[in-house]
Amino acid sequence: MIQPFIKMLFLSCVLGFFLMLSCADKGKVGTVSKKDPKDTRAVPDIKKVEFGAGLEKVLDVVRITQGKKAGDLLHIQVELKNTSSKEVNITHKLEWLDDDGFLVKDTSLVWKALMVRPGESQMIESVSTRPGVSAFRLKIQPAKNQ
Amino acid sequence: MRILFTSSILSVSFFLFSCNERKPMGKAADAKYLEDGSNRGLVNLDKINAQDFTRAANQLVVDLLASGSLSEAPNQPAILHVGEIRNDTQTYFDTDLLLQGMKRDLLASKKVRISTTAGPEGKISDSYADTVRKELGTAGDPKVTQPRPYFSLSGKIIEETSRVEKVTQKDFYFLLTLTELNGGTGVWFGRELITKQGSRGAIGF
Repeated sequence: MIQPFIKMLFLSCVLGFFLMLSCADKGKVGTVSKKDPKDTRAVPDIKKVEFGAGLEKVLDVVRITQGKKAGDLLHIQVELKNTSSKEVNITHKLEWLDDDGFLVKDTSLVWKALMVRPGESQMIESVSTRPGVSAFRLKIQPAKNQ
Repeated sequence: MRILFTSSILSVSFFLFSCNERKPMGKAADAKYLEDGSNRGLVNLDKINAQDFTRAANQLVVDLLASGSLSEAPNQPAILHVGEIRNDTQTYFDTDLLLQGMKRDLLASKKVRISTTAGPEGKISDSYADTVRKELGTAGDPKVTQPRPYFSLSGKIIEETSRVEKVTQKDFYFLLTLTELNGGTGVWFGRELITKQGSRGAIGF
């Protein structure tokens, strides 16, 4: 009588553990930014903070390109490549930081959806809406609705 | 032994419930605040959600700034008149939901100044300021200047619906035009498309 009960409990524990693992990474955010915020070269070094929820296995940041638009507005482009054989759906958000490191509160603070096909490269491009912006952070998260 | 397994089950259950974001348990209250631009907001197929307005505003501002059209004005920063944005969708909303964010970003870019007293009768955004300025101008106050807008921004928002079996696709087009007033010609044509597809709404995306 007690033996099947213990077996069932054990199985439930194992199942629960795997379920926990599957949702542990949910909502984790990967961040990509320039290694040196003051780096003004056209192709700055990439500082890559690990992607969450297994994104590091399927997405690669190929390069970051930067320049200026309208004289003094920072223009950036981040090239992402899907290195897997499956479609990857992500959401991303760009945060601009001013010369003093303060977060710029503008309309770029919104999550946007993006789908990257297998083997495809996608560009995430934007222009800061304020002069005096020298750095940015790109946050990447797996899309909820795949 | 039994105590050990029971406590394991309980602890696993607690962990599971703690990472369950979407579904309220039973009749428990689940109202919460979301930050502006969150990816956990509602996604409706039949209307433009808050994140859609913010995204459209951002994409249009970025496109406008990147085009360099605003820098072509001889006097910097140029004065911009924001005209009518027609809502041609099936739902009512105030177009300031799109425009206010754009105005804030354009002003912060220091590429334009936005007139709040220019425009056709009855459609001036600050009629009090306009009346006071007119009175002061008539009285000959030298501090009242009459800068004329160099650009005007207008546009419309269009909705298109397509269906295949149970799947609906909604396309929301945000179409804006920047006109240079001296020549009367369009110098920038912005287009931002937000497409949503599915069979029913969702929480988050």
